[in-house]
Amino acid sequence: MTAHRPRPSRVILWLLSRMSSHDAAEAVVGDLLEALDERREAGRAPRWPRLWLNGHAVWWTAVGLASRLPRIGRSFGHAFRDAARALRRAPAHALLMLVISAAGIAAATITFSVVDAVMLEPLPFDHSDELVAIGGRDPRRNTGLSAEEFWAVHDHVAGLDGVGTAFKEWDDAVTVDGTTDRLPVERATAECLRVLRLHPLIGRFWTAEDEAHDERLAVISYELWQHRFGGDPQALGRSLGIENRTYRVIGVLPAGAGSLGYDPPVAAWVPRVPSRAETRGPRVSRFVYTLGRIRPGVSLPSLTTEIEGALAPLAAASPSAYTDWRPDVERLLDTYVDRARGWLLLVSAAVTLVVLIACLNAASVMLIRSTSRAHDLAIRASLGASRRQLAASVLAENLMVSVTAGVCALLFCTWGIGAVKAALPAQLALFRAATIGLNARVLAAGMAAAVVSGVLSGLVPAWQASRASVVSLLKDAVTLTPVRRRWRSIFLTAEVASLGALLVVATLFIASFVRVMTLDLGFNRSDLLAVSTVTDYQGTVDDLTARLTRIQGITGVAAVTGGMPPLVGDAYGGAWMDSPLQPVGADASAPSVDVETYKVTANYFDVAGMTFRRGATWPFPGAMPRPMIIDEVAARQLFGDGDPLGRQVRAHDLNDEVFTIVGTVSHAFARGPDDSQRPSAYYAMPVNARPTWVGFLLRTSVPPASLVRLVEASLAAVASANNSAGAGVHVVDAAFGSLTAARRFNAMLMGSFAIFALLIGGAGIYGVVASVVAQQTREIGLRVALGATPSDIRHSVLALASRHLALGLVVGLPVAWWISRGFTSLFFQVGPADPSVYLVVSATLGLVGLGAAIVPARRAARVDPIESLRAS
Amino acid sequence: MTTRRPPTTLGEFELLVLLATLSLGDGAYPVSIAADIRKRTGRKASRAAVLITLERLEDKGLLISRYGDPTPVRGGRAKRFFQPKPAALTAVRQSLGHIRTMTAGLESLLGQR
Repeated sequence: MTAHRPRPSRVILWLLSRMSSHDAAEAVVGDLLEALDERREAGRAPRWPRLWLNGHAVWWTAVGLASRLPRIGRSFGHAFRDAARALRRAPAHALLMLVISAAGIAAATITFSVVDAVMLEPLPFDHSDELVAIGGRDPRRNTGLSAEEFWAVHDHVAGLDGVGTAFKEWDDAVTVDGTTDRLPVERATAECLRVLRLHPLIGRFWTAEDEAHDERLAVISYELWQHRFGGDPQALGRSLGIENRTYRVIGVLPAGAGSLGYDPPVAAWVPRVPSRAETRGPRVSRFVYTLGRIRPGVSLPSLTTEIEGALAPLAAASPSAYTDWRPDVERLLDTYVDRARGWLLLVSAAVTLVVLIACLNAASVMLIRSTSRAHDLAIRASLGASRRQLAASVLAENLMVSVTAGVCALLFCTWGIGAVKAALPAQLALFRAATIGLNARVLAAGMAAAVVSGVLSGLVPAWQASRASVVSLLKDAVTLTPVRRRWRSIFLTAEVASLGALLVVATLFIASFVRVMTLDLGFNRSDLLAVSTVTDYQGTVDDLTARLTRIQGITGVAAVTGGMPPLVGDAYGGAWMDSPLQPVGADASAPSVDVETYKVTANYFDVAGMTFRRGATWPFPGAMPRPMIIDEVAARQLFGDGDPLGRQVRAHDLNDEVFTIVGTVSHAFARGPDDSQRPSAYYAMPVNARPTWVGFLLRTSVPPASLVRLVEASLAAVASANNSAGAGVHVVDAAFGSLTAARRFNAMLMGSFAIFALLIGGAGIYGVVASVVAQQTREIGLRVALGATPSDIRHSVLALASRHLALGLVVGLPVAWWISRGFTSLFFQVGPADPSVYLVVSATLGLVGLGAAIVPARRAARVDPIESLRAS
Repeated sequence: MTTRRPPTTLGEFELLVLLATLSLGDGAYPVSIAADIRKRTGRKASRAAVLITLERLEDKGLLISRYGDPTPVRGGRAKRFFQPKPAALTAVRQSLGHIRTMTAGLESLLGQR
């Protein structure tokens, strides 16, 4: 009887044959089958013969491999020794490759670490992907919901498993045992805490019943509990002051819980419930910031549709409030990262372009290097080196560069990530900036990519080297083959194109920043101090004005209320009032215009440095009945080209009073350069007004920063007893700096990228042109021998560089335009197709490219025909 | 250029394998060598270890291998036979000589006749 003989796995047979030869592997399998038969005859047949056979074959392979380890190690050692020698012979190439690879890995790792921390990490809540923010959107801005809308959503939307509100104003004065800090406080409903699935570490959360009794209860963060209550469990029941109110601590959150990435983190949560009372009218206040937990299986569009259905009765009751307003639902995480998305996209795109330029440069260098390497390989092959040895040494060379670059990148990243965090301006308010850290996954991926690309880029020359004959290797070593020349042209053109694209984007950002810095704001921002809205002071506004005027170095003091002093509101937080203005009398049929309204003293325009287009300010309060000064934007929208002086307007939100226009002033970009040019109106502050939410503008004759302490001290002396907040005194120019910090950072960042890329690009162009000259020395010598002048030779080399530059620009500039369109919202008074920008970039790139080519061109012009022909 | 010096000593297992090869003559292949070592010394030698040692001895220039005819009992696969080269005899003699030299005078201790 012939027993069934199993067949070994093909993979294992292949492995065995790699150990020696196919015949030897077959013989081993034969030995194993013979042993199998012996076992069967001895009655010890294995239960699964195929498994037994393959298991033993693997064992044989492993034993064989182990016995060969010393020899393999020696081969590796030889390969790496040869590679090290090759790198030592061409240190410039090795260093360039090392720097390019390390910079590429480090730049990509740092950038994507930031992207991961800011945008991709989930929020610190259970199933945070189910959390949604519910608000609305009109043509001008995003809004919250009105109280009525909130309750309609709360009561009638089945797609949500819980709806709450949470609202953080600017930082509050939080007082514990007489010590006050300015910290973020969330005002929320009890259901909000349930929606977020927060659980107290100790104590409890407040309930809907507590809310019904209007209890002043607080749940504090772990950090506040540790720092201000010493981590004492007896903190429960103690008092906590928030602004002028006192709350009772009833619970403590676990460490890190409930913080939404604010720095410092949220210190306390206190109840605030939207009113259920109906407030119908033509204008709806939408300040309830709502969040909910979407039920599994419900999509955002279907939830939006359901919310629209829930709000339909309200829309039917007040159609004017819903003509251009729509509810809007988005993932909670998106509401935080939306601001950063454009910026991160910009940085990612810039880094991608820089890495692309670096890679193309590296490819050019590799190509040039492969020529001289072919010569070495040819000599080694002629001395008897095997194909495997040649390929191994080529691979080892690339692997050494890649691994060293990876290690350098790791060192650079550990330092660079801290430097990047430090360089991020606080004004950028990057979400979760404090959590940015070196991302090990990204770094591992970057290093793996470097090693794999190093191996892959070495595979082609290694394979070619292992296949080519000695004669052809020696021949290729002298000049580049047509195929390699074509690749060299493609790499150089692509590099110039990428460089052009990056330079255009960078120049657009720098041009935007320059235009922001030179923008006429409509008032004089230098030598100006602003006191943001103050309240709870003794005396009147006039008393405070007189007090501030007495400070040496202050030449003018004006008061403002209703809106913040220019720039400081947007820079440091503030509120504005607006009102529809309706022309009266002959212009009564004209539509009303929403304007920002400021109640100011008569000298406000003089102190701010605003220019009157028509008319003048009122001489003193009460000199004329209800005077109003409007800015040129309001004048144009209300009266077109007509003269507004003497015309009358009704202000709906100022008790329907009728004002007489006595002057028009330049538009003040009070909200910063990105002000949407909302029209503004100024009306008179009465004599002896109470200092309630009043701001001051102070013109100084000395550097304003030197007066900040004096102004603070002067106001503190007349603060009333319950004034815990103090006054915010700010240098207006610093506020401007704060508002433009993001633009400054972007311009600086893009400028740095552009310079770095220009350096790489310049080096790349130089390297390629220099290699062309070096490889064509014989040809150049022949041309000189046939009568070409040095000037002809120089021009021909420069023409080569110019051709690549021109071709690169032809490809790169349209790409630049296409990329720039994505960042239009980040530019300022400059469009993505601005011709001057493209001209500047073309000229810069041309100069750098030809500058890099001039040295090799001169070298070519000095070629001695006799020497070059003799050498060849 | 480096040249390999002829081996003057053998490892203990190499000596056993080489002796088994000499003893089996034309029928020396990994399975028969492993069986011969086991039969005569009681030592369980794995076929893999025997093959690796044979290949090492071949690398050292002491053995030469050839493939026999395919046999049905091995699934139609040939045996890889190993034959000693003249240098193998020299190496075995040298190793045994070393052992004899080193054991001289230890007969009473080792219980040898």
